[in-house]
Amino acid sequence: MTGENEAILRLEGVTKSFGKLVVLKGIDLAVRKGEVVALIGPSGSGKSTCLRCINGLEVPDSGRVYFRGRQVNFTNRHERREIRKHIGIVFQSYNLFPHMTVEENITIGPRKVLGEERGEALRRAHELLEKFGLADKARAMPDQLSGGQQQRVAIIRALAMKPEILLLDEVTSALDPELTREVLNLITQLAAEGLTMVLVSHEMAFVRRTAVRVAFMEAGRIVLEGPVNEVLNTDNERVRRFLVALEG
Amino acid sequence: MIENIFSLTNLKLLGRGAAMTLLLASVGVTAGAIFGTVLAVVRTYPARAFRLMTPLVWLYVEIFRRTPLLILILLTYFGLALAKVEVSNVVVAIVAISITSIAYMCENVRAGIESLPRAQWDAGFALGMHGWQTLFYIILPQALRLAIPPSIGFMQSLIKDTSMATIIGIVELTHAGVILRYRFPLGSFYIFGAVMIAYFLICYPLSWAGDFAERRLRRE
Repeated sequence: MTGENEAILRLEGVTKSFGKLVVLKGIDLAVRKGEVVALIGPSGSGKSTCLRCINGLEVPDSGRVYFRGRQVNFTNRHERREIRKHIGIVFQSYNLFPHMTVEENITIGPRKVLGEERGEALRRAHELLEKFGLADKARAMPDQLSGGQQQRVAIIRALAMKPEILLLDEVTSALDPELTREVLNLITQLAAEGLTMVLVSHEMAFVRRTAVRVAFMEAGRIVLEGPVNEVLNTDNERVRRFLVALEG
Repeated sequence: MIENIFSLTNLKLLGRGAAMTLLLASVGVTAGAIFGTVLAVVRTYPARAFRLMTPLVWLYVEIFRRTPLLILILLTYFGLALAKVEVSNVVVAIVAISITSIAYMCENVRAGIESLPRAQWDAGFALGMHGWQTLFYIILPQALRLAIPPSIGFMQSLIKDTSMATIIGIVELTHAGVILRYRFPLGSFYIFGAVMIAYFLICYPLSWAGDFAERRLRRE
């Protein structure tokens, strides 16, 4: 494999159990640079756990994760931190730091982890807030923002780390349709700019529009994986039933 | 009669008593706030280094929250005597009060830490932070803020409980009142009335301090 065809991220046979509950039964997935890959599938199929195994928020029981061709050793604390500098994640419940202003939320990572100067970090934070229409919220506390604004700030907080890959874990599931749209528009913009993303979503119209490839997960396995049009127009009975149920 | 009771000399005695009460309470409160937080971190933080200490902290907290301070003061007094450690009675009282204070404050901070969503840790880790960075920048500021209301209540109780140091002969506020009472038996009511007001004046400002601290911790 050479050049742009090479996967920036590759999972091989990743498994994960919580006690007796087997959540991932061997996940193989490759993500190329600049690509948006969507994980879809029913609740409890392991999509979120799969994302969390990519940046070591969960340590896989077995299998391998390669980032830029190098295998990541998640049992090593230093490597876990290192990988998280390059692979950001945004959660369903935003998880902003409620005791910090928006700009503090965004700058704390760059300052404490990347060692940026306060002024430099603030400048970039304001730049990003400006770009995504939140310039007037820099000094606001998270609880003064709408859900959609909070989630956009959470995405900006991840972007401020200049990640090479962004993981998005059902980032609109807690939002009403109107707020969902403003968050999805932001993600679409990021995709257009060429940011590599792996996202879990139930918004099929959005997946159709944004994803390059789609993986359908069920019961801890990827059942079907391929280019977005192939998967979303598949004649695989199980996947069709799922899509019909979602899209009505 | 009242003029005689509250003469300058006697007021000075009460004042010295109040100063002693303040000393016992402030050292106890400070020790509790600092070491209670440290123990709470040891008890909740999932680091391998702490794993052995966690049950010890648990034992410490359980024992000293479930036994009377009065007994602890006596035990410390006689324990140190038995060990032939010569310290002033004030030190004995401070040690005993601090032991109690640390146990309660540990519990307050622990409750604060554990009531935060697990996702706050995840959010810190997701930025590539060390565990200790997540603890200091994300978890503790929120946990300490949550611990303030119960801690203010506890500290006010602690101030009142410093009167137990009387048992080893320390002249703090209550003891000063008792001494005065022997000089003016007929004035007992007024003397203890004054003592009570003094306790109130010492305790009350803590409520303001609590409000202030809560507001401060809201911002980093």
